[in-house]
Amino acid sequence: MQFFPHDGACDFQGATLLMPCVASANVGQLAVDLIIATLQLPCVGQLETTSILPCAGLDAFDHQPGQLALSLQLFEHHGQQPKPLYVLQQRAPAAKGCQQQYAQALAHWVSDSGFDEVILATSIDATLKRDRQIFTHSINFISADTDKAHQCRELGFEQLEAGLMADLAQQQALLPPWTLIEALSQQNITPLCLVAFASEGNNAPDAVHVADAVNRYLKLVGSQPKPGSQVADGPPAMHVPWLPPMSWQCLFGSAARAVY
Amino acid sequence: MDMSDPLTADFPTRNADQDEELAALPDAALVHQRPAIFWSSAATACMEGGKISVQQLVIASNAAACQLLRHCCMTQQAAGVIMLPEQAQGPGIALPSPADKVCFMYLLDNSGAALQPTASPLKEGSSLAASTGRLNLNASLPASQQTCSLLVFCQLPMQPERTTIWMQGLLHVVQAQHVLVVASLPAFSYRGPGDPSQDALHYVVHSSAAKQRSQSCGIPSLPSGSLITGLAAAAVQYSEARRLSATALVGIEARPVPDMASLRQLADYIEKLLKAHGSSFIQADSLMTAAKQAEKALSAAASNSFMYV
Repeated sequence: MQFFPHDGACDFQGATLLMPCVASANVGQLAVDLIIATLQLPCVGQLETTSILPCAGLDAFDHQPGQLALSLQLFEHHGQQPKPLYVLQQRAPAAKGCQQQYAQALAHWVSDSGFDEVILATSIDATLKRDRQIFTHSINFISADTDKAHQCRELGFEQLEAGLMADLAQQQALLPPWTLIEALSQQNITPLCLVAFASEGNNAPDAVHVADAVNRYLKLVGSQPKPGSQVADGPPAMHVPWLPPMSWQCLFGSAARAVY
Repeated sequence: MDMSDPLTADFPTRNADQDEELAALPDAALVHQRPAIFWSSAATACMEGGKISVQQLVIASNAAACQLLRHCCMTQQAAGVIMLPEQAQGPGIALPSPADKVCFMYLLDNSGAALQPTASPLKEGSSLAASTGRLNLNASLPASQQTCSLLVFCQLPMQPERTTIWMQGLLHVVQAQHVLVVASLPAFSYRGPGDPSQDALHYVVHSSAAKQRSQSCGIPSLPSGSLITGLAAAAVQYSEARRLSATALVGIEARPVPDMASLRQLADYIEKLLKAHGSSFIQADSLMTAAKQAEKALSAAASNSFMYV
């Protein structure tokens, strides 16, 4: 895997990397889209590997008119404290049979680049919810790091049950996020995986849910009062005003055309 | 009996994904193997340091482009072929023929003539020379090579997994001032204005290095929300990383056989893009004639997506 910076070399030493895992419903990728569009992150380079299918488009984000959108692009969040933040967007899946190779190549690149922390945003099929999760909408997390686990619990995230995690890691061992978690662990990097249960369909609300969780952990964007949520004797509900990118305009196809 | 849920038929289960991934593991190494590229002796004579330099590299990767551009090479001999590694290792591929489903390449100068003007006497005792008709080029040709273009007809359906390495393999040995890939995008993947079933829709995706020159052509850019894949995307990605000039000209495909309006627009756009980057080996009127012939040929071969050049 090779990184091609746009303007000069990038210094990733000690930085945090946020990236999606291409899994059920593409929730991680949609959440990363929201973060990039809302924070107007500039693209600083692209990653190249034969393990990922190629794709190209234009004008993915309003703040980058005329810019190419490619399979693997890296965006930078200036001024993120205490550690700089880089966001990797993945727009294409791994080639068939190459999931593990991709995960290992990415893990090697992350390790060689000197990233200090890796956060994976992903989703799991909602049909796998256990009884206690059916009526909840909480974010789950996977992390072997006790400090990060404690921090996530403080934020209201629930740790994914060990039994479910073991079952999925075995049944879907060749699929993300398990391939990435395994590959990063082999490089002595303990990733934090934020997981939402989601079904295929309109996953924009799920993406907002995951983006909110990432925001609570990384404190990227301040909350604002939700319009119309004012009540007489209470504070208004707060929400993060996520901006959907312009590429979402035709998420479910081009506009309907007149039949007659 | 498998009764797939019609509502979720497009979304395989994760267990199905896992099974597919497991089944694809034995062939995964092929994804990283470069194609085998064979050049004629004439083209080999032009190479320096194992690379051939041309002004434009034009890759036709769909049936419409192959039919449209084949008239440029009707009576020419191939300068080379590209084949997948497993094809090159197959038995009996000493001289590929169209039936072998390989990609043929043709070198053309700006007048549209092939860079193979005369045939030299064949060496005695050379069976390969007897079958290929080895050609000589003028001694001055390497100097004028910069004004010639390489046409590649990728007329076999290529797996998406192989496109990146295929393009890397080709661009590793061909140094072009500009790369043009003509490709298709299925209508169901298109997100944008217009109705592909009614209108002829072609768009471009440029690398940053190609943008300035290509924008003068007036060809609309791909609307936001649509993604191209395959060889066109591989070319743009490779070129963008290395600050090379590349353009993908993509036609929105709503029917198996493009109509005359679509072929005319494609011909017009190809000519504009080539001229914007300094090539003039295709003339507008000959392209229009080719478009009419292409429509007939494509309609006749509607059951076969690709025509062999």
